[in-house]
Amino acid sequence: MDEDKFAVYLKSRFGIMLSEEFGIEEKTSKVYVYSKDLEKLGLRWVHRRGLLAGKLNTLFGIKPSLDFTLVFGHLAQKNCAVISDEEVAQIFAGEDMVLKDSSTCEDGLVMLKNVKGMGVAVALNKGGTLQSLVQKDRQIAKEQVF
Amino acid sequence: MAVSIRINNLRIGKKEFLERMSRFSLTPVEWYGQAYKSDAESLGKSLEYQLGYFYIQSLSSMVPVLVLDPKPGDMVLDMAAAPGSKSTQCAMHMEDKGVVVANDVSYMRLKSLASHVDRLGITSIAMTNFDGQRFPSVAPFSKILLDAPCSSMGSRKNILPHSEGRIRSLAKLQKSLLLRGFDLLAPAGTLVYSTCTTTVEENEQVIENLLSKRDNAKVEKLQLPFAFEKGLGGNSEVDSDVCRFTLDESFFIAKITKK
Ligand SMILES: C[S@@+](CC[C@H](N)C(=O)[O-])C[C@H]1O[C@@H](n2cnc3c(N)ncnc32)[C@H](O)[C@@H]1O
Repeated sequence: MDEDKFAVYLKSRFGIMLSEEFGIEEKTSKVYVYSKDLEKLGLRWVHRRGLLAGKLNTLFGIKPSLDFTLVFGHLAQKNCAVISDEEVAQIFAGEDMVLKDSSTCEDGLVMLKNVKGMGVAVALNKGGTLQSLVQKDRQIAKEQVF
Repeated sequence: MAVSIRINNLRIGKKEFLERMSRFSLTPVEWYGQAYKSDAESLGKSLEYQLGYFYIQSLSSMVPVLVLDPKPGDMVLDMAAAPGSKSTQCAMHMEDKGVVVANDVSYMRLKSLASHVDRLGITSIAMTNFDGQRFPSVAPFSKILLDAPCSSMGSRKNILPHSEGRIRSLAKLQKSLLLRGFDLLAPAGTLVYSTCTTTVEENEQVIENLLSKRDNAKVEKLQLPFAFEKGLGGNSEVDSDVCRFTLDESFFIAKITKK
């Protein structure tokens, strides 16, 4: 099943395993993570449950969403990097940055954490350069940050 | 114009939030620990907004959920939910535990609801797309919010005057939605009816209609932590228990329980 694909990908790429409290479901190539409390609801016609966690068929293959990363990114154990507040601003401005210790991440998608260990964004690692994948409508001007 | 915001306690603690947001000079709202006011117009363009640390919402619009008082584990239905201010507020009060069904008849408006659910990182909201008058019978809800479609005469955004015919048809819809909501409520459950309008037809008369049709409906006496007025419908039983108030917008609220 496609929802399993997402769980397998999270584990193999980032070492993320969601707790039993959460379910994953797939609809038209989009994956949602929802609280299993919602299974108590005996309703057949639900438009959507939980939050958009990622997409299955992107240019990069499976791609976790920014919002998934904000909630669950702290669980990432590999292909993840800690960045400073200035770098968070840079990534949200849509700019590239240099990965300080490139030996810790393979090429491809990387989860970025802030100095407190919370997930902040997903970026594309190309040989040590991180390309921001924050979508245009979520980007902010750098001068809005501080 | 002043803006009001509500902290997303699912994402960030109050202390850290205030440290991060110190450049915006936020003023606390005395009656709601999660809410702040600011004159800064750029709040919605900040990094903290994109990180889902807060939601921009009028102060008046925060009150219905305070009256509903959802708790972790509750089963809540928000019958007319888009764009989701109050559904997301419920999920925060419930610490993202339990069930919030955010329903709206408009498929287009569900999209903006979805974007807020995502940005705030909420997993306990299920979105549905029914006409609330025909919302299907499922396990009964312990709490229901009907923030009804209305003529919005108390809203900051209202610019168009409404004809009597329009108000009559809105009142008919509101009565029908309220009856359906009440029927979906569990015994001893609580339903909050609210509007951002001032007409008696869309407010007190909608409550009177429910009381005339459902013997087991009771209007609970409301007290609010700021200046408010009683109802204006001319039925003293209803008027003494419901509230009208104006903070940044004018709202009407009634709290109903099922005996
Ligand atoms: C006052 S707005 C709700 C605002 C929302 N509660 C919030 O706080 O963000 C009223 C909503 O009622 C919806 N609506 C209108 N008729 C409806 C119906 N028959 N059933 C369900 N929703 C309806 C509209 O699409 C609109 O989104």
